[in-house]
Amino acid sequence: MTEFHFDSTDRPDDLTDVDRPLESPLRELALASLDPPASDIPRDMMWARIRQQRRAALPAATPALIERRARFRVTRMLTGAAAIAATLAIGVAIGRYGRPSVAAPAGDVAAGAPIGDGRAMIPNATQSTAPAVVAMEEHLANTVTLLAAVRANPTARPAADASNSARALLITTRMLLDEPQLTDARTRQLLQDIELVLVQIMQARGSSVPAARRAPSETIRETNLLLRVRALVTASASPPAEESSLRGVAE
Amino acid sequence: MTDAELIARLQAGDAAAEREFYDRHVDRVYRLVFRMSGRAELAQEWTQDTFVRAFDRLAQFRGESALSSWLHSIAVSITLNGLRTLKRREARTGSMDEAASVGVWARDAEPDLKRRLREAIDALPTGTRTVFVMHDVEGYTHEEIGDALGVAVGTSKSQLSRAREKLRTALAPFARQELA
Repeated sequence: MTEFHFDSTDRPDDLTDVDRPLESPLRELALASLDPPASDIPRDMMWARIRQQRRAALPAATPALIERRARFRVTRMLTGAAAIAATLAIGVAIGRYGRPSVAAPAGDVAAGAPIGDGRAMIPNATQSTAPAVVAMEEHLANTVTLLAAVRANPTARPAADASNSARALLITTRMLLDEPQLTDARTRQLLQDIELVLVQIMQARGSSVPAARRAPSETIRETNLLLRVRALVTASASPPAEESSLRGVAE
Repeated sequence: MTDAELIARLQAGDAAAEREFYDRHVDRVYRLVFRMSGRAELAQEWTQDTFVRAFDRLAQFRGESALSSWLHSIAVSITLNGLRTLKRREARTGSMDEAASVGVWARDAEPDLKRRLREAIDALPTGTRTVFVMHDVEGYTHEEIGDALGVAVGTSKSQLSRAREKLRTALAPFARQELA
């Protein structure tokens, strides 16, 4: 039972009620002094966080993830060739063009952006300081280190800190998946692939089965996840094209 | 949808019912937590915790009290425990009875009377302040307060009387000017 501290002169057995209700002006003043700020109650944000907290409390391998993993195994052979072609296209585009295009229209970003323009995957990314965009960029930067470490040691059991990092990153990934600003299909697919790998890392930590330990690196390799995340991290770290060109002219 | 229908759908795992339940109660829970804690970020966090715990414990809800009373008892419990944790973290000595202020309102240029009233409310012992906020501010009955806090109705009444007496005393210098 919750312990409560009451007035030291409390006599709980004194049921005499000679109390007068607060005068109306005083009660109104009390209401006003205790009221929340005028800004709206952040209902949607709190609901998103409630869902995220409940999801984070679920067992790591939810039925949805198991199903997605199975679907992924069936289709990976069919998409392997396409993935290699996409990888080459991304590499060529990054090397040749280097800088993202400026101020893509919000509605056209997802549909019309070239595959090599990493920042185009994040709506309004070129000039946006929207929290969701900033959070996405920071999250990808944090994720790439872990993915690179896992990829470099494909059969090793993840260290405790790697598993802990995966757990923390998983919470953020799921929060971003709930973020209404991030609706682009490719962005969501990227986040879902990251989610899958993070769950696999956590499972590999607690497993002695070789297949479970190989799963994260296999998924990273077969979805080109590390390359896709690095492309976005690189693109988001680059200044806009005209800024660089102007700088070059001024110098 | 009645409470009974809503509970049945919630216990069956209906996602739409979960959102319905949340929408029905979030404003009152948030206001209650905010008024007890005095800080928006704490109100958000503990409101979220209230609903997470409520969803986790739905299977245990037996309908012995109204759904709103049950939910608000969770909110009160989480808020009071949170305030205690906050106080320990801030390394204050002594019990919460001595805390001059745990909730902090960062507002500028408040009228003196409102500020004095807020300080007087904040200076009340935890349980006394909770009874006052729940009854005079949030409109709970003594029976509902007793259920939520695990105290007798008589205790709730006497604590409310003490709270009112202390607030009137604190505002006595203003009485002629502001309350006439």
